[in-house]
Amino acid sequence: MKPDNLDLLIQSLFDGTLEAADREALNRLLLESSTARARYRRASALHAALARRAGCESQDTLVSSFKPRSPFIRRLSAIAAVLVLSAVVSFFLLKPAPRAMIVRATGTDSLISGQSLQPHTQIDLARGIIELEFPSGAEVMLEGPCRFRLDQAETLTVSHGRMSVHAPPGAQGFRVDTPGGRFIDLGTRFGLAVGSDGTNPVVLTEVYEGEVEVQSAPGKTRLTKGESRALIQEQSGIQLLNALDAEPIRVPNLAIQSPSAKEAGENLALGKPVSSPGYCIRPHGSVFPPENLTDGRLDDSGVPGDWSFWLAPDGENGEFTVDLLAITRISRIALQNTCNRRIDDRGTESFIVLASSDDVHYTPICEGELPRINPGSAGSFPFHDFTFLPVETRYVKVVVTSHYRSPLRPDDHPNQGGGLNEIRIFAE
Amino acid sequence: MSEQPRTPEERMVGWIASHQAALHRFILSLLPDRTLAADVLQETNLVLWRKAADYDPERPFLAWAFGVARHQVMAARRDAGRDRHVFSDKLVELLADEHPTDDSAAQLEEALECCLNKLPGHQRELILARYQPGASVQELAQARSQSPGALSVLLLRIRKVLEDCVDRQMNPTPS
Repeated sequence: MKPDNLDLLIQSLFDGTLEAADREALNRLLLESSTARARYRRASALHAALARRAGCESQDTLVSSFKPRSPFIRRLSAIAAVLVLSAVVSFFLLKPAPRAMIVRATGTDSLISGQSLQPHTQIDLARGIIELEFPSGAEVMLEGPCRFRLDQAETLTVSHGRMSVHAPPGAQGFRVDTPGGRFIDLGTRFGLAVGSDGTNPVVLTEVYEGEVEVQSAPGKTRLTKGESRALIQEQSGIQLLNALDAEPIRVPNLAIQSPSAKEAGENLALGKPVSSPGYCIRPHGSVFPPENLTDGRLDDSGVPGDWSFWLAPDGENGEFTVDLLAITRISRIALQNTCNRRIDDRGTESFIVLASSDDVHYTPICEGELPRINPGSAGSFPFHDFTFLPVETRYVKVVVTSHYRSPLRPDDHPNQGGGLNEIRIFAE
Repeated sequence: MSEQPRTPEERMVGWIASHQAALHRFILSLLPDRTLAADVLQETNLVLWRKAADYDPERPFLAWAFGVARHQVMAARRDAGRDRHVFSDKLVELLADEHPTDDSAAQLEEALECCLNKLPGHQRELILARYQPGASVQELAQARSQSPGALSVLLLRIRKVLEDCVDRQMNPTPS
């Protein structure tokens, strides 16, 4: 349909170019006809959605809304904000100002340090860790795999992945929007893991320092240092729990994790299929299948539904078999243990390794023990090497012969069993 | 173990948060001044929160919240002075009365996202630049060595394409 006078008047109204005479004409047209008013409402709805999307209005977070300010101060700060914003906008003009900049990138494929990220674009980080800095000074570390967007100023919209957020003084109010709710940093450090139970989002958070406000359907909650919560969706609606499946909630701090040392030699197990007779499956995305053993992801990382480690079924030592897909000469394996996200109730104590070329007849090739991982230790978990006489094999089976359990729980507590973060297999 | 909202205030925060888009749309349609509308939205949030105890959860939230927002719009119009009024009192009343109280705002935002992605690159860039916080059509036109009028016509064309696309997204016609 060709634009008519009403269209032009509405557009001038939105664009701030409406003259006094036009104003009267617009009033008259809208008063006269309900069809015209319906058209105006339709245009205005889109106008509002575009304005909100650009983020000006979204700075009216509920937090600032709930701080009554005098009309004078409010008007003054609104004028100041508009002045600053117009300066920024006229500087960048058609190229909108970047919402965040990558200040460090480790082990990533395409995202590099110094790159600024454009708003309204979905960004996928397949692997590695990036550190983002926002204009306010807020810093966010994100670990791949991760999916996020920069839709509004000083806001990170995350649909999947694990991150640590630090809002130094001046950056309070920085927020992370997740499918389950909104997390507002009130000057602090906190961790977030956004995952899924297969159908619904599961979001875990732990506050390392300071205070965070969680806004979601159940209302708003303030969390302080040491507190953690899980946002889950149940039939009764979204719930905020302080323990998940009887286990405490832990989100390891990415900022104190250093990238693991690169392995010497080619890891023959990386990406290879792994099978196990069973593995730990619990509600809310707490599933730990054996393919996690060769995914290259370490240190009990990941998010609900997508963890980096394998856990045996409750109460069992467990076992798994790596299929190297072809007869291969091997002489060394390296194992990284787990402490089940610092819950410290699972892990491998002793094991035997067997080899087979047909997945039927297995021969033991070595045995060994792994120390318990200290859940309080900073940095990445150690790898332990086990060497043996070279063998030609296709299948490598690890049978756990004893496991660690929580020292605080009774011997027969179901939440215990074998587990492992990663297996690496080498020729030399 | 779970934390259900305990007080009317806590419940209210959740409702307010989930209806921000609808409230903003309502306010901006009555008060077509972006800065003023953003201020009124803040005030409205505050009043809704204060009145949490008065709200009967049996009643539709938006109908009640629009009533409060309407009051705030009228108060802002009084404060702002006549010279900033675009719409007459009578027209504002009429628009407020006719505004639907169903909440399709979230749906619209989703459809808009999809439609923006369908726009040709230069159109998409232009409309997004236009809505950047603080951007003005005058400045944008100057930067593009264009008259504001010519730019408005361009923006109008993009807006019409988006409107039609959003309508199709939200009401797919059965084939």
